[in-house]
Amino acid sequence: MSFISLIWNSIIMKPMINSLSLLYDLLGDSFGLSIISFTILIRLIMIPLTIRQTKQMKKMQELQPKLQAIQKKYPKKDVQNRQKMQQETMALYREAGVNPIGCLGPLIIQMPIWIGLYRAILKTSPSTPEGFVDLSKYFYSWNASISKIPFNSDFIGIDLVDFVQYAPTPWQFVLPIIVGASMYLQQKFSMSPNTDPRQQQTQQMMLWMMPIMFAIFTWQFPAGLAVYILFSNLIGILIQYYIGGKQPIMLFGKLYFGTTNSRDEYLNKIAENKKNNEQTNKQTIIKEDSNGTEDIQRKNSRRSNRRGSKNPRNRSRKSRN
Amino acid sequence: MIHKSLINASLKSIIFYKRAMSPYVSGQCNFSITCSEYAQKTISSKGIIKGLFLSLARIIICSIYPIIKRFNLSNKKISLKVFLFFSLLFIICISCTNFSPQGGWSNVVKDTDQEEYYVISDEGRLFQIQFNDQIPMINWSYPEEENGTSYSTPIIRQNSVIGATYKCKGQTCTGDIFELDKVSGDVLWKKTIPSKINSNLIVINDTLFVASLNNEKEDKINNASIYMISLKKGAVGEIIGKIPTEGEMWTGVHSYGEKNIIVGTMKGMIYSYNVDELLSVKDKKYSEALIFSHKFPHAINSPLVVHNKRLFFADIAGNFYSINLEDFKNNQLDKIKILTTNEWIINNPIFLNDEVYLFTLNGDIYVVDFDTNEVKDKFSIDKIVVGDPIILSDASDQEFLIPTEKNGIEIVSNNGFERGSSLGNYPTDKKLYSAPLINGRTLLIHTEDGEILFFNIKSRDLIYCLDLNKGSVCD
Repeated sequence: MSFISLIWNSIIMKPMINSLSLLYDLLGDSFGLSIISFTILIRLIMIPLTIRQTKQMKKMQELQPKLQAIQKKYPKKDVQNRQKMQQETMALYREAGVNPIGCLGPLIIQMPIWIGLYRAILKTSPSTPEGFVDLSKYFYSWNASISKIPFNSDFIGIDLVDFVQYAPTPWQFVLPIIVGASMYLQQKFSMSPNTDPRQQQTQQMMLWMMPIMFAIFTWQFPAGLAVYILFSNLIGILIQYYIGGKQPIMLFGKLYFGTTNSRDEYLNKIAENKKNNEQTNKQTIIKEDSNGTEDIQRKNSRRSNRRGSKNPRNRSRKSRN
Repeated sequence: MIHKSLINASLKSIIFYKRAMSPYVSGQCNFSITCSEYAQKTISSKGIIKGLFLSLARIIICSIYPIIKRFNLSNKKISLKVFLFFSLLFIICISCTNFSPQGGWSNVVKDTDQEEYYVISDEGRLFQIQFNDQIPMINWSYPEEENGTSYSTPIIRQNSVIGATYKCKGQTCTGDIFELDKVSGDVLWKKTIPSKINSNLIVINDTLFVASLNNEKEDKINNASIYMISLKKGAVGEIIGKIPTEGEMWTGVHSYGEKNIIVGTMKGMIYSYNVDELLSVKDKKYSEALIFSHKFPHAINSPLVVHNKRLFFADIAGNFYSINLEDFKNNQLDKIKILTTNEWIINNPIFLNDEVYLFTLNGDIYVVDFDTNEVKDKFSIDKIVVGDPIILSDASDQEFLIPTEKNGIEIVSNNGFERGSSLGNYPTDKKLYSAPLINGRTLLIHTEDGEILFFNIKSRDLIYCLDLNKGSVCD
């Protein structure tokens, strides 16, 4: 355990606390500005990753028709078929150069940053003498900004070190709502209309689940972390917008942002999707019908067999009688 | 040679795993080159370090892979599960963080008249310890059960003992100050203030001074106050004054001369008051009793010590200040002598002859000239030092006993050329934040988790260990 904590402290906690305090020193003793600029830095470092992710997403979407074809090829859902289907989809991904880990990457990388920042923010203004002693261990010896302790954590009336639930009255509700809304928007921007109806469903769910869960989480965060997540999302939206070719988003049935070209494309895609959906719906209905009739026939045949088997016995008994 | 034998050993262990363990552990490998085969190949071709690292990475990737594969195949339920799994992990990691106060910083103090010892444990209980046939026993404790935590050392008075604890419920913390009868352990009075108390108290002229931390939400600026509690007959336990200060006082109230107090705050303020004048102040005009005050550029996080009419303290930027009190009073601040150590000093320095010994948090020991505040000598024990070091002197030898955070009590010589060399330690694996107490041939140490260790000073053997919270011998 001590080895893990050593690695954790030297890779995440120390750089985080030191850069936060350095930024605090540079930006006129404002913890809020230091967190915001820290967010910008992290996002800048992660830009290559974001670009890769959006490219992969695009490729995945281009692969959708092929994937659907594979799924149609193996309609039965037994073990062998599934394995074959998976093998073929993996082969398809490999050919296209899509890495399935890519889509989990940002989540996995963000997670330690969130946890680290959660602890770093609480650690930078200790409330106990041990915490105070502990804090000095996290500073690099060359970092002169240690002399700025205790940090002034007040930012537009919010104590950034305090938990959001204890923030002054408008903010304790406003912060979670803004965080949730920004997360919703970011997801909206990163998702373009999908052709696969089943994927569309999951997308819809994630689209709602993530922001709601994060809004609830935010309640338990120090306000500084909420500020980080908020600005991280906002910057994420900007990056996504420019990397993704200025895609518009659909909010409450209306299109926002985007160039005229991308808007037209977007509308076309939606129209296509609708058509596809209707077709697939019809097909599935027909299939279900045929399946249903087959099943009924099978059941009937079983019943008739049973009857057939039972009847002779009865007859035989009767005949004996 | 070593490298080759290491490779051999690891390859053999992999073969052992493949033959003996793998058939029973896992069903069937999902990957065309199994992880163990991959490990064999890479270790033999790329050397032990690279090979082990790569095979470890491969194992990790293989174990995540099925999840990702499923995740990508966009099954609604599974993607939700993955998401929930990660958010659960997130919550667990966050809830692991423990920021609640631990306490256990109280020194053990000895009542010189009787063979009695007093200490406040990390659970916020004040104990009286007596020796019964050479065996230490808990005579009484107050309160009987856990009551928050404490960082304050008890104060012994003629027939009573004073202690302070605090506890928090959510965001609101309350501090308890109480005076107990020495013989019976009964409460004489008890006062609750709306603040944490995480420093030592002091009694001057029958008045108790308590440094509070700001916890009163209505007080928007991070200000605190010094509580004055009367101990005089007729008004025992009454709060007779609250002196406001700019910034919180983390090291508490200190005294100098006969009737003066001095405090340093986390906003760099230093205040000094005359107690007699404080008591006669009317309408809360405490500034009338002020002897001097000054704002320094950085937070003051060390005790303020006056020795031979010089004031010593350190700030958070690692500066150690020394100034003649008269010069300070006359506002001749250019006479302040500053020594820059770039390290935190949060315990009391030791004054010996014409020298001041500073013990920094990182375990450096500075020997500083008393008058000029210049470094004469410097050595290091490379351990974290929080509690106050003490000096142990025989006729010939002089040794510092330095309580380190995690490595017991370090013994450092102060003789001739041996000066600064380590002479071993009194070992314990418990955290130490308090000063040891020398009592004849035994050394008493209060650990952070509420144990009192009794060492034989000469032989350095642990004679006895008393677990305060359990009320019995340690395990």
